[in-house]
Amino acid sequence: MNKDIENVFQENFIKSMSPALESHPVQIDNYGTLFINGKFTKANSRKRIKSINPANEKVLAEFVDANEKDVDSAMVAATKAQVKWAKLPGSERAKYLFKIARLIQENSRELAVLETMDGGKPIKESRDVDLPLVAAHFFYYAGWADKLKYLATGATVSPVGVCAQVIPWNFPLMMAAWKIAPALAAGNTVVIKPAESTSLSLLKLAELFQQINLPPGVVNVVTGGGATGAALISHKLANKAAFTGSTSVGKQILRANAGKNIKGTMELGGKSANIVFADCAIDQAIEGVVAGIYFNQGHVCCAGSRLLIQESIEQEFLKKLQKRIAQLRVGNPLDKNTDIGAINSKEQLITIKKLVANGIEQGCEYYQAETSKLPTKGYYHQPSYFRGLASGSTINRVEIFGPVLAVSTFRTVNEAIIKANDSRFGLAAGVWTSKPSRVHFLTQKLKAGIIWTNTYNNFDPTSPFGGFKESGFGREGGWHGLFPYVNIKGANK
Amino acid sequence: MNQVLKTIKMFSGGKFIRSESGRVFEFYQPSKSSTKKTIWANVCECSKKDIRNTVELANKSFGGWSERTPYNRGQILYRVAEIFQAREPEFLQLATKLGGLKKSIAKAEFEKCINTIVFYAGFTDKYSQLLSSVNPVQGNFLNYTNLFPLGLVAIQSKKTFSCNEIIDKLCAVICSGNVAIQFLNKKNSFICAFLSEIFATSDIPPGVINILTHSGDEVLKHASAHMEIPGLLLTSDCSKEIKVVCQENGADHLKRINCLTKNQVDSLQLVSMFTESKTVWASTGI
Repeated sequence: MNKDIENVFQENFIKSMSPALESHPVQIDNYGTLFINGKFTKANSRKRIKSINPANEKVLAEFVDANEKDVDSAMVAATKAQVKWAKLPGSERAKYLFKIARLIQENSRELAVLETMDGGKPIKESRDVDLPLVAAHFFYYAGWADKLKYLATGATVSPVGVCAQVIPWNFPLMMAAWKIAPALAAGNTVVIKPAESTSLSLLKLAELFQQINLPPGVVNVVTGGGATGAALISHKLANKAAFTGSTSVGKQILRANAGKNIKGTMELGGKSANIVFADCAIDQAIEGVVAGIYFNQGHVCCAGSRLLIQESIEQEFLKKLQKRIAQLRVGNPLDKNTDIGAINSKEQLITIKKLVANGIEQGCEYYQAETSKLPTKGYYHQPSYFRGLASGSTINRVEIFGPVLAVSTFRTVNEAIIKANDSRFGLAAGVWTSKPSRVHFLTQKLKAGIIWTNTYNNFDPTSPFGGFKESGFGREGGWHGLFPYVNIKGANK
Repeated sequence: MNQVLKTIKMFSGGKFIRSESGRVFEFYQPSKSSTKKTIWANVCECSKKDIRNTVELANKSFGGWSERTPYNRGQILYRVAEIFQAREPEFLQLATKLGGLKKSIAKAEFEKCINTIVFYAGFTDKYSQLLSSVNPVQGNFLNYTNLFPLGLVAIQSKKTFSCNEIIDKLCAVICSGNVAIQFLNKKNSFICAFLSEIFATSDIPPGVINILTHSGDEVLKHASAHMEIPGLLLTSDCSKEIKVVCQENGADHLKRINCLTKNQVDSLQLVSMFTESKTVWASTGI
C-alpha cells in the first residue's frame, strides 16, 4: 500500500475511534454551596469534607458538611414547594422527569467518569450498569406521574409530602434515582443527602435539575456526614424518611423517629445465599457467583455473599471458581478492562481486612487470587473466599460488604433452604438448577425479597427491590415502589 | 344465694387458659349510677410469660396455616361466619348488657361482624391477584412479584368497644396466612370468651388465633420487644406514649409496626400491611 494512503487511513481510523473515557476528564468543582431552592446557595456551615479518589488517594474536591441550619433551610424550601408541585397536573410532573432522564443520558459519559473517580467502581460498571439504570429509573417513574389513580381503585391517592432521604455510597447516582424519581412522580418534594464519601455525582445531577428548570425546592441536596443525615431524617418537617444503608443505622433512625408521624422505608443490609445445585449449568453458575459477590467490589447490599454448593460438586466447582477469580483484573477503575476497582474508602478497607483476619483466626480456609498485583496507592482488596465455615461463624453471618465470599455445602434441598434462611437478613437469594419444579419450590420457600434463578444481580426500574426481616421494609422500583410515597384513603368495604 | 363468680379464660394455642400469674381483674357491668357497681366476672390479666408461651404456640401453627390453600382458608373463615351467625342472641345480650350498646346498635354491629367475616372469607384467594405483578424488565427474564404472609402479628384493641373493629383487623391479618395474637383491653375484654368459643369450634387450627386480655398497656410493651413477633398493628386511638415505646422496642428487630390512622379502613391496604412482596427473576435464556 502507498505510504501516504496508509497514513491517511491510519489517521482516519484513529479519529473514528471514540476516545478512552479516562482521557476525557470530568469537570470537578469545589462545592462551598448546597443545592437549595433551585440554586447553589452558600452554606451556613463552614465545615468542609474532602472527597478522595479511592483509586489513588488524591483529593478530588471539597464540599460542605452541612449543619442543622442548612438542613432546616432545605426542608423549608421543600415544604414550600410541595403544595405547588403536587397541584401540577401529573402530565406536567411527568415531563420534568422525562427531561431529567434525557439529560442524564446526554451527560452519562461525564457522570460515569465522575462516579468512578469518586467511588472507585470500575468504569465499565458505571458506564454500562449504573448510568443506564439511572436514566431508565427516571424514565419509568415519569410515566407514573399521570397514572396514580390506577394505584388503588375506589380510593384517593395523595402524596405523602416532604421526603427526607439518605443514600449510601455503593451506587450513589442509582440510589438517588431510586429515591427521587418515585417521590417526585407521586407529587412529593425531596431533601436528599448523599453519602460522605460519594457526594460529587449527586451535586452534578443537581446542575442538571437546574438546566431543565425543575421548580425551585422540589429537589434539594444537602451534603455532609452522619450528623447531617441524622438531622435530616428525623426533621420536624419530614413526612417521609427513606433510608438505604446499614442495618445498624437503620435501627437508629427507627428509634429516633419513634412516635413521630414519619412514614419510613428502610433498605438495609443483607447476607444473601447463592445456592448451586449439582444439576446446574456449571459454567453459567460460576459466572453468576462471580457477578453475585465481586460486582462493584462486593459493595452491594444484595450481594450473593454466601455460596451454598451441593456437596457432590464442591471440589469441581471451587476449582473452576479459583480459575475464574484468578482471571479477574483488579486495579485502576478508569481502565475499561478492570473487573474489580477500588474499595470505596479507607475505613471500608480496614473493616474488610479486620473481618478477613477474624475469619483466618477462627481457622477458616481462606483463598484469594494472587496473580494480579494491586496498585501501591489506593484502597484495593483481592477477590477472595472462605471455605469450611460453621454456620454460626462471623464470616457466615456478618455483612462484609467487600469482595469476600463465604462458601459452605449442603446435601438435600431442605438443608439448602434451612441454611439459606438461617440469617437475620432476607434481602436476596440465588438458585442455580436445571430443574424447573425445584426452582419454583425454592422461590416459595426462601425468605428473601428478591430471588434470582439461574441469574444474579440484575436490576430494572420495573422490578421491585427490598427485603424481608432485618433487610428492611418497603419496596423500591416498579408499581410496588410507589406505595411508600403515597397515602391511600378510602373504603373498599 | 351467693353467685359463683366466673373467670373468663384467655385463648392460647387452641386452649382456654388462665394467666400463669393467676392474676385477674374485675369486669363491672356498666351502669348509670356511680355508687352501685355490679361485678360481672373476673377477667385474666395477661402476663409477660403468657405472651411468651402464646408466641411459641402461634409460631408453630404459622407453617401449617400459611401453607393451606387460600381456598381452604376461605372456607374456614366462612365457617366462622356460620357459627357467629348462630350465636346472635348471646352477642346481643353481651353487647347491650356489658358493651353498653343500644339494642338497635348492637344488632347493626352484629350484622357488620357477619359481613366482615364473609368479606374476608372471599378475600383469601383474591388479594394476591390485586397486588401481584408481572414486571416488564429488560432482557431475557421472566420477572414477577407476589405476596407472602409475614408470620405472627399482634393486634391492639381500641379504647371503645367494637366487635367489628376487632373482627376486621383479625380477619385481615389471618386471611393471608398470618397468625395472630389479639389483645383485648378492659373495655373489650368481656367479648373474649364469646369470640374464643367461636374460633375454637370453627376449624381454625389451634394457635392461628389467640386472644389475651389485659387491663393496662404493659402487654404492648412486652409484645413490641418480643423478637418472635414480626408484626404489630396499633389502633388509630393508640396513645403516643405507647406508640413511642413500641416503635423503639420494635426497631431492634425491624418489627413491621403499622399505626392505623382514622380514615384508614381500606381492606386491601390492611391485608397488604402484613405481607412481604417477593420478586423472582427467572432467566429465560436457554
